[in-house]
Amino acid sequence: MRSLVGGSMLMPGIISQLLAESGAPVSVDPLLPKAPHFPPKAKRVIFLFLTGGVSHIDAFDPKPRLFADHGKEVKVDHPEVNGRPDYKQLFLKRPQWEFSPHGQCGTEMSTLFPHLARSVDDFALIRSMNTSHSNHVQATLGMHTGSFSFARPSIGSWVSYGLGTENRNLPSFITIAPFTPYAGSQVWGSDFLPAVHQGTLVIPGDEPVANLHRRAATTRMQEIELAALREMNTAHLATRADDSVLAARMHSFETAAGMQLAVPDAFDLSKESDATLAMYGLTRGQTTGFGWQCLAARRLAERDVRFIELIDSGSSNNWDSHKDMLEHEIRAQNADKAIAGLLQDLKERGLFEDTLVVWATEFGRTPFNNAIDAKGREHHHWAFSCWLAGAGVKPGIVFGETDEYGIHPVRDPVHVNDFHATILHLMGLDHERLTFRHSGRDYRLTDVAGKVVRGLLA
Amino acid sequence: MQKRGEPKELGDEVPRKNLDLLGGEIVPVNGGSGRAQLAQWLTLPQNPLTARVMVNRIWLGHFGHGLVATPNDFGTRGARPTEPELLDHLATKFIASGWSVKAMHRLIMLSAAYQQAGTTGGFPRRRLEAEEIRDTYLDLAGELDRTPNEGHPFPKEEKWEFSQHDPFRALYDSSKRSAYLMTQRIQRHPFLSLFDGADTIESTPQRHASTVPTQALWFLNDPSFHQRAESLAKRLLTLPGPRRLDFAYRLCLQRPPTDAEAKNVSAFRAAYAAENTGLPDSQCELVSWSAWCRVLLSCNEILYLD
Repeated sequence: MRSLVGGSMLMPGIISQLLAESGAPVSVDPLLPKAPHFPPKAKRVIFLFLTGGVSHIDAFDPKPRLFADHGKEVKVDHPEVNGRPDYKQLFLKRPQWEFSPHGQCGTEMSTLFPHLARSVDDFALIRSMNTSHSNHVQATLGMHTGSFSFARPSIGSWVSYGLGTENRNLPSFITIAPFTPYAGSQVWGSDFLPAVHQGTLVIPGDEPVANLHRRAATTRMQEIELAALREMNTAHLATRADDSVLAARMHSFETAAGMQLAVPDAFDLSKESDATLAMYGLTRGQTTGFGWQCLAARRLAERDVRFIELIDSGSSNNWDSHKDMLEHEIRAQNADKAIAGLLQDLKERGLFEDTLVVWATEFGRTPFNNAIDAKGREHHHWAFSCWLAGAGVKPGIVFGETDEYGIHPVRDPVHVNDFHATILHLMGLDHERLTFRHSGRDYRLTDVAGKVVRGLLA
Repeated sequence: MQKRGEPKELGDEVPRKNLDLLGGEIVPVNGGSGRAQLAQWLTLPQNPLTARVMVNRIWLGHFGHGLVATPNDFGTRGARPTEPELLDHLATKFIASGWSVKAMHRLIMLSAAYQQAGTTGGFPRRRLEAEEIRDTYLDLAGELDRTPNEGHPFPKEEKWEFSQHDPFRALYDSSKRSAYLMTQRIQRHPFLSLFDGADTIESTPQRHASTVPTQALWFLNDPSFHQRAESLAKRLLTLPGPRRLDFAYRLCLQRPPTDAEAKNVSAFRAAYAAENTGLPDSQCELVSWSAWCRVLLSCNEILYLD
């Protein structure tokens, strides 16, 4: 444990000693690193969430028959169209991007993600994802908590709860999101897990974490205040030495003082080289965009933040292209180069070996619509695509398969619960043993379902 | 039954009734919204569960832990009561008093058990809850507006264009008691959520009290906290110099300062003033008292109840 304030003013040793003497250091500090259930492949996760529903059949899942049968009527009993006026007839709709093989592995990807297509040898593409709800809020909640109805702890909170964190000057779970997502703060909420495991929201911009800028006029003044506070609290503690919480709160002021320096440093991209900035598609001085988020994620990974989530947009102006699929191109311009740059940068810096990169969206989009000339696509939760890359993941493979139009998985379906079980497995956690007692029973991220997808493991 | 909630997609007609699992009694339709019938059913004499749950909640509030450790679960998966006879005794008294919460407070607080709790270590030390912290600081700053809230400035209904893509979001901060703060389901209040306020989604019978550095950052740097401390300092500066410290300690900690503490405060203010050499005396006075008020308002003694 490191204190950036240190020095004679604060004497951090005394508080650490008090904590040690209290005899319950684990309950005092629930973020201390904890041993996983078995040796992990990954030490940390970068979870990329592209929100709104990225079309699998336009990006990751080539369907020649869908091109060929454009305009042909299909009969599908689909929850997104059932009972909707004007949706009595459904017609197949061809993708607007051409597919071709890429990389050594030859996996086909479309021109929607031209940069990412060049990294196809680095990730395991899952074409048989499926989820349990076709509406944004519930599916987003599901992809983050495993629950499609009630708020539950987010996957980042579960990982923080299971493993703690190495760097106490930064939160264990950070979500960088420019706008509020579907389901709001439930996406990074810890729900019934202790609140220390909730995600810290970072909004790209000048003050990424609330109350980070020192408000006392000088560093010295803040030190005087902190020393006076410590003195008062030490006197108060003298007759209450058995209460570890009081000492823990004293300690939290030291950590906070450290965070004032450590957090801005983590988000300060000014020392990055021109070449690195270019890799992410960034111009010098830029503090927004998915490129900024991805480069910030690499810097947080270097600093051993346990779980880093990036959400590319919010609950509007996202991938929800009902009106026109060409909107996907605008979203891809924000994300494509940034993600490819992140993968490349992680590899060049040796972080790819112990970092798990997850690419996810809440569902795919319908291969059909209600008119032959419909420009958009509806929500489709029966089948979509996601991928995993990095530590412990078999690179350059395609896992699972959908039918000729991309409507249903036909081989090796991967439900969101299986996806979560696999992520936890790569972190050294058994999803059936990572439990928390709440409301009279033991809860899991995967509830009563989920199987580790062995075929994705290296 | 409206399928998928669609008024046009009608399914079978279903009578209004209690859940089958809980008896399934039919609730007449001609009796208004049904809330009165629900309340009557919950409080039927042959259903002591409601009274047990309520008195357990009141007990929990007074003693820091309930007679049943799982206040939201009196079912098969919940904890068994530690004193079942006491729980039933209180529940019976509660019903007999006409469900008077006030009478139950009185009964508990006049009991020997309650009056011993403070001296025998029966009440666990607890941190103030989020709303209490906010109200306490507003009050100490002399800024708490105790008048009832007139309602929030919600936009007019005809201007609503909210959807899941563009949901309603607002804070409506004020100087009124925290009980009047607006609660939103999808967006937790930033302050209440930082200090472990109730979950906005599910019933929260007991609060956690986390101790995280982001809370400490709030004390160090939040503009509203600095504002409260400065207001308290201004209150002190209206008093003659020798009375200030005593007043502040009695106001905030309900006790006078010790001699050692009085010395520490002088040393603190001198050290702070030494850093403030550029400022005119009057301003320097306010700056150093404000800084000291921040320390006083941040200390464990004010945040934790013994």
